[in-house]
Amino acid sequence: MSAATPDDQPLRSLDQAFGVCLAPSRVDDVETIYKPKSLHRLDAESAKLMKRLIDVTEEGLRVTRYVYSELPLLWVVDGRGDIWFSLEEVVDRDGNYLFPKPSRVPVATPSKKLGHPSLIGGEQGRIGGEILYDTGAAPPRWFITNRSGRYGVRAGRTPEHLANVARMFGAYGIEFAADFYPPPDGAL
Amino acid sequence: MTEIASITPQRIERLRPSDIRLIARHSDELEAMSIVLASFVSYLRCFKDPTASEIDDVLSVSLQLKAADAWKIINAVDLMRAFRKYVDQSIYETVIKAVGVSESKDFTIIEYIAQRLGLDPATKELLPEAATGVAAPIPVDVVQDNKVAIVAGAQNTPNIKSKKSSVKFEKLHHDCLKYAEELRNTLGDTDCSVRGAYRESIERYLEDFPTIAGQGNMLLADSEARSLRGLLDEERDSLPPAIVDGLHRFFVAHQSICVFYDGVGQFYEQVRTGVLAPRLEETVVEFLAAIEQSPDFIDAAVVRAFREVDLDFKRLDVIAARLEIEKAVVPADPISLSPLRAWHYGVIGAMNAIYAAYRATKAPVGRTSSWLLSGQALAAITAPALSRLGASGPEAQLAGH
Repeated sequence: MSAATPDDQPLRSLDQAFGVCLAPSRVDDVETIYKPKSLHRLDAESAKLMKRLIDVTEEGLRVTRYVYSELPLLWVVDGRGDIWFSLEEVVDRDGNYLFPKPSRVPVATPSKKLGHPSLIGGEQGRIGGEILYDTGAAPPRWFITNRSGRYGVRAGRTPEHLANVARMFGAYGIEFAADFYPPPDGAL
Repeated sequence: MTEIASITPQRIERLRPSDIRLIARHSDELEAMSIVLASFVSYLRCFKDPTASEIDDVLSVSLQLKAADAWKIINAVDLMRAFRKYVDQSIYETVIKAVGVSESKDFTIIEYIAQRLGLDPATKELLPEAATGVAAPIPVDVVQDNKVAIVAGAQNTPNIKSKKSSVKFEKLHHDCLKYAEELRNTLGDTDCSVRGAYRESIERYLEDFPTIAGQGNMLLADSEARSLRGLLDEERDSLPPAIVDGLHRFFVAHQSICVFYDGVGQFYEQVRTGVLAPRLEETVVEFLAAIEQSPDFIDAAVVRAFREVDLDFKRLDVIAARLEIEKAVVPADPISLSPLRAWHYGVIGAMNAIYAAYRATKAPVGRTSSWLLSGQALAAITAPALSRLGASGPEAQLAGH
């Protein structure tokens, strides 16, 4: 089973569900060449594994709680409505995986980090954002946000688009609280 | 207030939903928001020629802060305009686009700080005293044109007590300069395979080295010598033997000449026994901006010297961290130095000395208000750090402000 809406479904229903397809306003070269090694498309198989991670974290495994509080997963909905998710990875000049990007650690040249566009080859995409376990929340829990400058907080993105992505995960038993950040007033 | 202190520059980069709610809860508290926004500016300053992915991060953080209502008290555009010179242009534009354009006037750092701390020159006639007993890494005082300027002091003038001592000093001074210049020439040779950091450091050493009394700064030269020792420790095995020998010869001469400059020993004595001040990174950002925007009262050379103190000692700390050595960069170093504490005392001592000299300037006729406001801002920025060090000074007097 694919999480994506079938190909023959009118594009405008995808536009309605996940926002219109927009090209990222800025892309680093590496993001069009390399894909993250940790990349998954949301489908029955990946969702099954993901749910185990979600569940074991909620059940109280502190190591995953604290890792995913600081290293959020990136996600993007592509033009076909498929949802992709991965770690934010740092690669060397040949695209070899080095490590997931921790906060405030400078990425030394010539290494580069692979942001949201790399999940879909730098192409047009619908809404995107992050998935994280917020240890500071009361109670602590998993969140999905639209925190992606190039897909998530573009003009026209709405809380409903984010809620629809959360529902797609929910269809596999993966529950996220949605946290939506309004886009700027003007288009970026 | 304690919980909002968790919004550090590191945390700003990865704000979680709970952080957004925390900021929102404090969004109408001036002091809390000044902590959050100082962290934000400090975070923005990290970027040089940012990648698309980094601009994306800045945009996201800006919108998260907007969602948290962080700009309720301090206007985002005012803040960005005040710090415009200190952030990359593309970063500046990203934040402005994210938070929207307002019709507000251009803001100086002084005005921003005055607004954030509620300073008002009409309410206070005298500036608080500067702290006493804090060693200064740069010698500053008021000069004839009523400006704070670099002067002769214990950091650039040797203390020579006898003729015999004078002869010894002259020889050491000659040797130290000679060895440093030889190193620069060797390291600058196109055939030299040693990386550029060595040459850059010895060049900065020579710029700071007091060739004549009253000019240069031996403490800043010493920080470069320490950087070189850190580099040597890290790469000793891979360096050509001739370079290692040259560095050793230079270190011996340098350590000997330092003894003649009282400012070096006094400073490190405080570093050795000192404690750390909180959130100093943000304090330095504001202080630097404030003195740079007071050109009528503070000479540009003082601003450069302060920037150099900040960068030189921070560089030492970076090297030490890489070596995972907390206390001494080099075993043979006679001074047991914590690079992190050296940076703290360096910038705090410089801030206090600059403020003390500023306080000794005279308020220009017809401009008393702006002079007083700048002075209040410098005192207010410096006070929390000085207070943490246990120094008496502006903090106590500002308490009733």
